Amino acid sequence: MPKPDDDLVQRVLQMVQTAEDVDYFFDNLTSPEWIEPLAKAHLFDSPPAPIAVDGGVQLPAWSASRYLGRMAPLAPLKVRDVLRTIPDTDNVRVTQNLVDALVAMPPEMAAEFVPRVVSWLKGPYQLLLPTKVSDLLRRFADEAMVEEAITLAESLFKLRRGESISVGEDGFTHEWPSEALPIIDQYEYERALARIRPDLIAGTGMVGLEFLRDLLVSAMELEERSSQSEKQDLSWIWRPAIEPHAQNDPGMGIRNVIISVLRDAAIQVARADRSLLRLVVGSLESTGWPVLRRIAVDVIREVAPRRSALVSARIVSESSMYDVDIHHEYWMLLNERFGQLTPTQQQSVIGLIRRGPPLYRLTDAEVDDSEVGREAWQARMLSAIERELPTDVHDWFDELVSKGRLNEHPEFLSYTTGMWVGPTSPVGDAEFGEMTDDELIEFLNSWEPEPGWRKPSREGLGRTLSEAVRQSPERYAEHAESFRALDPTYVNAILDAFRTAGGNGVVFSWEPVLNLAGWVVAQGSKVPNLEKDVGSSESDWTGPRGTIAHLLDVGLKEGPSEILFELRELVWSVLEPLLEDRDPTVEDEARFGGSNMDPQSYAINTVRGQAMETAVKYGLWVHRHDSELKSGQLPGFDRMPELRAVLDRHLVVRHDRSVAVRSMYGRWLPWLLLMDSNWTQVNIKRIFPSRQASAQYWEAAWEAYIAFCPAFNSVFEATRSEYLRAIGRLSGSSPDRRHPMMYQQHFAQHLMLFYLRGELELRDKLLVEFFKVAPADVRASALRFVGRAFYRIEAGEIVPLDDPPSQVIIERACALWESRFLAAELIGLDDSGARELAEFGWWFPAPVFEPTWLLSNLGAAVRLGTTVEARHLVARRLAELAPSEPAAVLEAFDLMLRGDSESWMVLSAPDEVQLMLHAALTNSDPTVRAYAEEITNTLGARGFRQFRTLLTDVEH
Amino acid sequence: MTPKQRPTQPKRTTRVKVSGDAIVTANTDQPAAIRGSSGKDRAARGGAPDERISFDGQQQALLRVLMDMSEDIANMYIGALMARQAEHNPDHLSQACHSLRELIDNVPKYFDVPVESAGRLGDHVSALITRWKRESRVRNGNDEAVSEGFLREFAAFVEWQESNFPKRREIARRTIQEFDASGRSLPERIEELHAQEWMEIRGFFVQATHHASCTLDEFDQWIDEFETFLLSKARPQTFRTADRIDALIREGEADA
Repeated sequence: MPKPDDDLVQRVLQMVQTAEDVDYFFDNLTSPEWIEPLAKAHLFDSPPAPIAVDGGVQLPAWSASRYLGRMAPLAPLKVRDVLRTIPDTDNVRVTQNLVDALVAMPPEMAAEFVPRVVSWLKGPYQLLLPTKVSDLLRRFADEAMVEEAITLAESLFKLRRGESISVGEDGFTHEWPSEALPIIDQYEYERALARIRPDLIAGTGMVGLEFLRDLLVSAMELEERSSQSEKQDLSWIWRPAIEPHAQNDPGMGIRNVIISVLRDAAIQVARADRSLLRLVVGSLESTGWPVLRRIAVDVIREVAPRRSALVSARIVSESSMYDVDIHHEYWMLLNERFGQLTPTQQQSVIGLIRRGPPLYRLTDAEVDDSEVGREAWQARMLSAIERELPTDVHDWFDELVSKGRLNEHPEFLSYTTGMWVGPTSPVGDAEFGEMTDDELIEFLNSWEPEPGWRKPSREGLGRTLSEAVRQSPERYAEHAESFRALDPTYVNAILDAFRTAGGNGVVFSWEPVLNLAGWVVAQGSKVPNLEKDVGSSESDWTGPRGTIAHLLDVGLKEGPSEILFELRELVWSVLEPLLEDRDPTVEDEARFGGSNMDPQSYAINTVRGQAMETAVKYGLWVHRHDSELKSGQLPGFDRMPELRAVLDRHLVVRHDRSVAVRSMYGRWLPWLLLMDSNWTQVNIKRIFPSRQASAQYWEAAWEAYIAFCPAFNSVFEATRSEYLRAIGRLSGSSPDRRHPMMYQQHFAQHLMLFYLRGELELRDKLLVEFFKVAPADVRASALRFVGRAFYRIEAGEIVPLDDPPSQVIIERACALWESRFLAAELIGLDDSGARELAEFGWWFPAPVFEPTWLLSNLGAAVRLGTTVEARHLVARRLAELAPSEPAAVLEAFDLMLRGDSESWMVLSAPDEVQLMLHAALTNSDPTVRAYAEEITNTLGARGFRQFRTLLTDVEH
Repeated sequence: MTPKQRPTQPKRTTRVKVSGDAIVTANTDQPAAIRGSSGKDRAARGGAPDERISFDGQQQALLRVLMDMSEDIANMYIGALMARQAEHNPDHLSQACHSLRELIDNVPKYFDVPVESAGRLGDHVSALITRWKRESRVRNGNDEAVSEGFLREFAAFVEWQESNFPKRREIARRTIQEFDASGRSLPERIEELHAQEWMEIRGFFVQATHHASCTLDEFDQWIDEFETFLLSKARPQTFRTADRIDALIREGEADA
C-alpha cells in the first residue's frame, strides 16, 4: 500500500529549490503519514530563528510547524513525538503553531508541554501567542486539569511594576506613580483574561477564583500609590463602581480589568453553587484591601438569596454603613435589599442613619461643616431606602432634601460629569427678535452681568446678539447707527454678524453699517472708563477695528453683497484710519509673530495688517468699477492716489517697522502689478530690499509671494533677481517658520512652471543653481510636480487634462528628466539622486509621454538603483502598455521587482500585475512568453501563488 | 564525474547590455557579435579567429541574474563561455574552468557574505611537508620518534583544516541563501544538501583549473549543472516545481 516513506521524502528534497517550494509542500500535505519520514529527514529539527533586520527583527514563518498544527487533531501521538524533538525558539511564529498543535491534541497529552509553553511566554516577542496559550488554558480548564490551567494562567497574567514617570520641568515636576503592568502586551492581556474567565472558573472553581484574587492583590501591591501597610487603595476614586457603570473609566489600567474579571468570576462561582457564597465572600474579604471588600459586597447584592443572613449582617452593620471605602456598593446593597430585612433590622438601619457616622468617617468636604456634612450623609443614606421609609422618617428625609442636603448622585461619593461650559446669555436670540429696536438698545445698555462662574456674561449676550443679526441682517442694518455707544463687545458682535452675512452673499444696506463702522473707527482704540469684566471679551475698540477691516474686505469682493461703488469715499474714510492702527506693535510682533507664526498669518490677525490687505482689495474694487481704468491705458494709481500714498508710506521702515505688514506687498504682488505696473516695478527693490540689514522684510514679502501667488510670467520678469537670491537661501534655514516644505515646494513649482513655459532654459543659472543647492526633497518635489502636471487623478483613476499640453511643453519636460537622470548617473546614484529619480513613478502614468520613452527611462532609473514612487500607478500603466510593448514592460517590471524585496508593487497592485503578465503570456512572441513565465515563477517563489493559474490558463 | 540532471530554462532571445565596452546580442538561432569599445569587430582587428558567441535561453537568464549583481561577475561568466568556445586554444577548458571558479569564489562578497581569508590548503600542506623533511626522527634510539614541535605544528594544521572547511561550507550555504528568489531560507537540512552540491560544482572547476582531466562533454555537463543550479534558486520554475510536488504528494497520500 503506497504510503509516504523515506524514499519519497528524499525525492521531495531533491525537488525543492527554494523556501517557497518547501512551504508549498508542507502547506499542501493533508496526511499525518508524512510526519515520521519527514522527521527522519530532519525537517523538524531546525525552526528558523528570529533575524535582526535594520534595527528591528523578522520572525520567519515555518511551514513545518503549520503542518504539525494541522495534523495534531488527526494524529496527536505522532505530533506529540515530533514536538518533543523540536528545540525551543524565540520565534513566536513557530511557537504559536506549536501551541495550536497542543490545543488540538487531547489535553492530557499536551500537559507535558506546559513548562515549555511557560518558557515560550517569557520570550521577547508575543504576537498571538498569549491568545493561543489562553486557548490551551481553556482546554485544560475544560478537563478540570487545575494544575496545568493555573500554571499557564500564572505565567500568562504575571504582572510587573512599571516605571514611575516624572512630568513637568523647571522645579514643577510631578512624579506619576508607577502602575502594575502585564508582562505581555496589555491589549492581549485584557482580551485573554476576559476570554479565559468563564472556562477557568467552570473548570477550577475556587482555585481559579483565588488565583484571580491574588492577581488583583499583586496589582495593588505593585501600585506605588497604594498604601501597603494600611491597605488604603482609594478605589472609590479610580473605580467608582464595582459593577459595570459609565462612571468607570475603561482606560484606568490593568487593575480595572482584573477587578471586572474577578467580580464576574466570584459571581460565577457563587451562582454555580450557592453554598459557596460565604466562602467566596470570605476569600475576598480576607485580603483586607478595600477594593476586594467592595467586590464582596457587590457579589452579595448580586447573588445572595432573599432573607439572607449574609445580606442583613452586611446592611445592619455600623462598620459597613460608615465605611467610606465601600460606600457605593453598600448604598446599592441597601437600596436593593432593605425591603428584605425584618422590621427590627430595618429599624436598626434607620437608627444607625439617625445617629450618623463619627466625624472621621465623613469625607473631607463634609467635615468642613460637620453639621451640614452629617445631614448630607444622612440624606444620602435615606435616599437609598426612600421608597420604604416610614412616614416620620420620610418627613425628615424631605426636610433634608429641602435644605439642599441631597446631591444628585447619592450612590457615589464623587460623580464626574463631562460638558463644555461657554459664555451664557441671559436671553435667547428669539427674544431679541421680539424686542423693538429701542427695547433692544435699552436692554443692552441696562443689563449688568452678575459676578460668578457660569453666570450669563456680556460675551454670551454678544453671541446671541450676533446670531440675531446674522438671521436678519437687513433689519439691523437699517438701524445700525443706533448701536453706537454700546459696549464694544456688542458692537463687535454686530459688526462680525454683518461680516458673516456679507460673506454668505446676503444683501443688506451697507451705508448705515459703514457709518457705524466709521463711528467706531473715529473712537480710536481706547474706551475711556471701561474696565474689562469677567464676562466681557472686549476692553477696548481694537477688536471691533479688526472686525471692520475684515468686514470691508468682504464688502469689496465681487458678488451680490458687494458695496456700491458710490460709497467709495465713505469706504476709504473708514479704512484709512485702520491703516495707521498701532496694532501690530513691534513688541507684540516679536512676541506673537517671530518663530510662532509666519508674518502673513500674523498680519491678518492684526488691525493694520488686515487693513493693508483690505486696501489692496479696495484698489481692485476701484479698478473694476472706474470706467477710466477699464481702458487699461492709465496707470491705476493715478486714479487712486490715496492708495498709492498708503503703499508708499508703509514701505518706509521708519514709518512702519512691521514685517507682517510688509508681507502684504508680497502676498498681493501680482495684483499690484496688475493695478499699476509702473509703480510696482519702480518699487520692487523697496518691497524686496537687498540690504542685509533689511533681510527680514525681504523674507516676509518673498515668503508670502511664493507661498500664496501663482507663477505669473509678468511677475517673473520683474523679480528674476529675487528668485536667484532665494535659491541661495534654500540650503540654509527655512524662511517659512511653520511650513518649510510648503514654501520650498511652491518655490520649486514656480521654477518648474517658468521652465515648462520657456521662460527658463536648463542651462539658465537659476535652474542650474536650484538643482545644485536645493535639498533633495525639494528637488524631488519639483520633479514630482512636473510629472503630476500632465494628468489628474479622479476617484483613483488617471484622467488626461482637459486642455492638453503642447508638444513643446512635453518635450521640455522630457529634456528636464533626461538632464536630471544624466546628472544622477554621472556622479553615481547617491541617496540624494535616488530621491529625485524616485519621482519618475509620478511621470509614468502621464498619458502624454511616448510609451517607449517612458519604458526606457523607467528601466534606466531602476537599473541605476532607483526605487520609484507611486508603484501602484506604475503597475497600472505597465498593464496598459503590456499588449503593445510586452518585452520592454516585462523588463521594466522585472527590474523593479528585483529592487523590491518586499514586493510592495505586487502587493499594492496585484490585479494590474496579473493583467500585465496575462498580456505577456498570451503574446505571440515565444521570447516574451518565456520571459513572462520566468517572472510569474519568480512571483510564485515570493509566495504569490495566485499567479499560478495564469500559467495553467495559458497552457490550456 | 557526471553532474545531476535538472530541467533547463526555455530558450529565448534578448538583447543584453553587458558592460560599458561590450554589447552582446544573443539569439538562439544566430551567433552574436561582441564588439569592443571602438565599435569595431575584434576579429576584424586581428584578434582571435572567431569570438562570436551564442547564448541559449538559460544562459541569457543567468547572465541577467549575474548582471544584477555585478558586471565583473557577469564578465567572468562570459569569459568562461568564450574560452569554452575557443577550441583553437589548447588550454581553453582549463581557462574556462578558472573563470568559473573565480566566479564562484567571488560571488559571496557581492552578497556581503563574510569570507575569511582561510589560506590555501596547498600552502599549508607544503609547509608541513617541509617541516616533516627537516624532522629528525631518531631520538633516544627510537627511529620513529617525532618532536613535540612537529606534533604542535601538525595539531595546528588539523585545527586549521577542521575550522576552515566547515567555513567554506557555511559560505556556500549563505551564498545559496542570497540567491534564493523567495528571500527566505530553506530548512537547514535542505540547505546542507544544496551547499554540498554547490561545493561539488566548485570542486570540479577547481580540479579542471589545475588541468585535471576534463573533456568538452564533461565541461558542458558541469557548466549546465552550474547554470541550472543558480537559476533554480534565482529564477526558479516555481509553479512547475509545484506541479511536481503535487504529484509526489498524490503519490504519498494515495491511500493515506
